[in-house]
Amino acid sequence: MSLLSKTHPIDDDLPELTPEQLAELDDLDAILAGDPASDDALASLVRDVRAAAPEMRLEATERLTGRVAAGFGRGRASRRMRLRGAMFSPLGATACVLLVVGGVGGAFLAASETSSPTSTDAFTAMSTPASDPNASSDSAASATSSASSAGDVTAFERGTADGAAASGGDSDITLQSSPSSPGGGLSKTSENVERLAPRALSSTALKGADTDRAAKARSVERTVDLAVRVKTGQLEEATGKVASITRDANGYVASSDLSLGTQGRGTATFQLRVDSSKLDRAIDRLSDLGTVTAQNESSRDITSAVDSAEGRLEDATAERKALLRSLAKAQTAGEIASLRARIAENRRLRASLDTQLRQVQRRADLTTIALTLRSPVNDDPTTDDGTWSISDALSDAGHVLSAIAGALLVGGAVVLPFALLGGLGWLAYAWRRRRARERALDA
Amino acid sequence: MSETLSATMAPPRRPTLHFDALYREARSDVYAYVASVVGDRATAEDVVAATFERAYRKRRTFDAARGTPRQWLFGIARNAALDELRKRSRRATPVADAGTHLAATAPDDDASDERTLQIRAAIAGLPPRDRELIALKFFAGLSTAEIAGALGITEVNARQRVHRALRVLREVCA
Repeated sequence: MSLLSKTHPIDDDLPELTPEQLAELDDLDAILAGDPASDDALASLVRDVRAAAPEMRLEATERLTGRVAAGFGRGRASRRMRLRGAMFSPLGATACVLLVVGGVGGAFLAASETSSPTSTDAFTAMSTPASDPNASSDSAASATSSASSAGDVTAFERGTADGAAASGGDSDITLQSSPSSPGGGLSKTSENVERLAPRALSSTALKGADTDRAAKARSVERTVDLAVRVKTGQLEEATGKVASITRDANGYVASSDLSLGTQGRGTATFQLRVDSSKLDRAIDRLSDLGTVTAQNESSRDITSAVDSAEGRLEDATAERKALLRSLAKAQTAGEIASLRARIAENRRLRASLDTQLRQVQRRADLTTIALTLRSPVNDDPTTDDGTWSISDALSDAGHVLSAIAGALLVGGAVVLPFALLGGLGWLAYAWRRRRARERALDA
Repeated sequence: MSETLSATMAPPRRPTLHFDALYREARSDVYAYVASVVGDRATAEDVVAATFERAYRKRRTFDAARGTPRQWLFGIARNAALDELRKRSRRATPVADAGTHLAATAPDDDASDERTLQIRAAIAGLPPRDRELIALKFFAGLSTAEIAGALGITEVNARQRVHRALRVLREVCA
């Protein structure tokens, strides 16, 4: 109200009304209300002015009355009105806030998310076909199975190994396991998790001499993903043991990363390369560092790649012998020079093929172990048996609530300045619109 | 006992706006006011229609604590009329003075006697703000408090301005 008065200084110049003038206004109100008036001239003026009031045309009145009766097209509010309603209704505002908070919270949670072991109740064994990039003629034996008992797993293994042996090509065998199985899950004793891939291959010995020879001749590349939870505060000690275990397995630490937090919390990741013949012992010792929370083993038959490299090397060797024989028989200087050049080229080729063969054989000789050691802050080995308890639920709920509170705080910090700016902008817009309206009247 | 208690404890009910009754009661007054502001008959009819449509859409936002339904309605009508004037000024079309049109509407009306024409001419000659106040006071019959609410000014200020407009009107109609 004062805003308008300030924008029209002329009003401030109006003198205070005298009692007579106020009485005149009272008379006017009385006349307009239909009461008898003491001022006949004013009454006459009122009557004449009211008689001069413009009147709406009948057709326009009827048209408008019809629209009023129809509720101005109920439910057909203009798009602008609907948009306004959606934007400013409490529901719309709540939805907007939830959207913002959800987005911020999702990002926050995603950022703070740490990997956790899966909690499947059974072993899941699967075989994924894949081709060896070094051998174009590789074929894959595929078999997919989900088993809940050791017997089922064994049956699957046998089938997979047979398939791999019969195909004569490369094949992938992936065996995954996770804790919380009814039988007690994976523990450091690894009672339920056995070295499945070796058994899969060695089981072919039961098939007879031919199969046995085939199994012995096969080259298998193996990789193991192992996650171990160690006791709080013992992460550094466990990390030191990893190096010695790797050395004992005739291997080496390809890479390592240790991240220590507060309160004994931390994570260490390793890429280990160990002698495949000593893999089982190495896995057992690594499992002894704590509680195995996840283990994933995969095997790839790279026999065809080895055979291919060996074959090409044999061919090159045979070619060298032939060239040497030809050289012994050569008589002209040109012939001799040409043969020597070819022998030199053959030497380079054999060296390259020999390197390739060594590399592919090394893939079978050494197994890669991706080891993750974690030391959680609230780790209590005396009570934590790996199962999800009420205290775990409460702890998780606390984490979720704190994450939500953090997200709300961040969201509020982000939204508040914009809300203030928006409010100021709206006030400025309303003030300008009001001024513009008043100016329009004066124009 | 319980009925008395419940009657005592019941929260005050928010007065509802009877839109149809308000329309029937204020339709002619709104038109007279809007025609005085915008001048053009057809435009005035459009503005009146827009006024009632806006009022219908916003009827649930009416708050009796902030004024009477007529005050609320004439506030909407004023905004609609001024928006129309702004549109006209933006289009840069020659704007006939509303008062001129007010005088020119006489032949369409039944009451086209000499006194009425004289009064209309007198009102048409008033400054726009005074003409608006005369329309709100004489055509719409709003109290000073309602005028203050519709114009967004203080009641004292409204009283001063109404008195000034009345004085001018008396002079030109004498």
